[in-house]
Amino acid sequence: MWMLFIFIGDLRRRWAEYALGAAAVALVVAALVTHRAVTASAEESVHELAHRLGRNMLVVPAATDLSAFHARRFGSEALPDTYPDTIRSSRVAEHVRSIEARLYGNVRAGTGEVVVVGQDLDWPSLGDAEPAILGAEAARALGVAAGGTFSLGGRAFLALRIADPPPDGLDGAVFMPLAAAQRVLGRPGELSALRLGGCWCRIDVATLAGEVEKLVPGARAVTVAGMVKAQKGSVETMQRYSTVLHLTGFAVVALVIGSLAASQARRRARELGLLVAVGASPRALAGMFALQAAIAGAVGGVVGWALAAPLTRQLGASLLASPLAPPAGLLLPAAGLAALVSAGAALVPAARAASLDPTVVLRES
Amino acid sequence: MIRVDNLTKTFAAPGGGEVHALAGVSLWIDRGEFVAVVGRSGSGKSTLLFAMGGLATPTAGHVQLGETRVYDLDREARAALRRTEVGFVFQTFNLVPYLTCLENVALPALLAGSSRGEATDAAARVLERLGMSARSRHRPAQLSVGERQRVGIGRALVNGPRVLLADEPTGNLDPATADQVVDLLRELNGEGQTIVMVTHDLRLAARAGRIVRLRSGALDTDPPERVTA
Repeated sequence: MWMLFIFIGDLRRRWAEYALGAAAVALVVAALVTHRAVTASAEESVHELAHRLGRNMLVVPAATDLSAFHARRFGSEALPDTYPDTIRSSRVAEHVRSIEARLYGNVRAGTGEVVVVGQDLDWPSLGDAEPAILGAEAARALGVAAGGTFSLGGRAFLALRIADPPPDGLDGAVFMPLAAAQRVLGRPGELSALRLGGCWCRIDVATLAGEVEKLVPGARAVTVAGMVKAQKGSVETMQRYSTVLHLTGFAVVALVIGSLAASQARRRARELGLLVAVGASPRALAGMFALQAAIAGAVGGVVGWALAAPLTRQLGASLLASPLAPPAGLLLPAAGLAALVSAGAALVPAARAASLDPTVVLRES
Repeated sequence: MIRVDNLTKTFAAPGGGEVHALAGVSLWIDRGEFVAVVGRSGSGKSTLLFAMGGLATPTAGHVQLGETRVYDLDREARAALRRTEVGFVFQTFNLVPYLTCLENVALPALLAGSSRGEATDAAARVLERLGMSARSRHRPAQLSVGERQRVGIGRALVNGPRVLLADEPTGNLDPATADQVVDLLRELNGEGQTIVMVTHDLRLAARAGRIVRLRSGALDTDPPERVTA
């Protein structure tokens, strides 16, 4: 009880000091929570990518920025739409079970942006309107329901259905015939990617990729295995640095809280001497310092977790193109660990404070 | 009630060598006595007082409070002893600036394990006894120096200690206020409170029941001089 009594009194007097300590802890915790949330999401996205692309080989223009491509930001790089036939008529065709040509583009539409995906599949003929399949988000942006019509790039479309889940997880996409997409995007004769399917049983996938690249100049063949391997490597590197980052972060917390506690111990020497004189034990004094530091640390941990929300959202949007939030399960560990590290950091100054000679400090005028 | 046996306290001098703050002091203080310890600056008065209260571990010798040999106890047990058996009053008051008078006086009671309600009730009673009830919600900076010392005395008394140890309690006060504080101490002594007061003011010391003189860490007269207040 007396510790709380002293703490509340001291907090009223030195609130700015406590706020500074808690703010420093909050910044570190926010950085760590954000990092952890983004790392975890990156790991998930690797699995999702592997699941989404299956055993396909992706053939894209050599200049394509793959991270932007997977973040669904498509550039103007193109392959000629004659390449599927080139492959079909070549000697690599025996290894390829399917070829799907696609043209991608980002288009502003309705209340937001949609991804136009042109596919050379068997689409039904509808007369005046072009057929389309929409992801739920794209349907919302265009304000259209299944069976409804809408206009995109000056062309009329009929929404055959709203796909849930949408193909390849493209919730914001409008899937349409390749020729229609070329017209909407103003890119006649162009493709963004070819997806080659097969079992790659009788040929090494890297060899096949090399053959394809020779066959279609200006293209890059990306195997799923290679992509996943590269992305897993990135995630593993991030995780390796996570340990260093966490240790550094908590060292910063310890340094800040330890310095504040040391400064308090110096400035409150007379008050501490008095507490000893009126019967506070050295252990209790050390406990009081640890408690004060732990409270500041815990508050910093909670605020840090809350601060991580906008940071995670921002980073998730810019790095992974997906809305992220700090996991609720990290709140207690963040606050608890920050409190523990803060209390630990206060122990050395607390021990010094507890060993003060009260007969000296109480007689100083 | 307080027995000091051959108490010695030696400090390392900053330039090397040793300083003998106390050199074999022996003293007996009965229950209900009001003893003034006088001597020049550096004679060891305050060291003796703090040693009696369990705050300054002696180099040799013993302090016995009632049946308890104070320095046979470990630090935690000595702290517990200070909570209940000893009340300190200081020259510079040493009130916690951010607490009210009531909270300052209640602090030792909280330390002794009282609930907040019990502690504030006890503090309110003590402040009333000292004529400070009207100031109970004020902070130390809002009080006169005499009032601050009254609060300091109240804090020392709140747990009903066996002995009140006052280190130059009038050192920061003007003569009239100093007299009032000594009047208060005499009143408390009259009610049975054992008091040991360190002072360099012989006029005020003369108002105690007994004077003990220290010179260079040793008793100046043996047996101690008795004076009439």
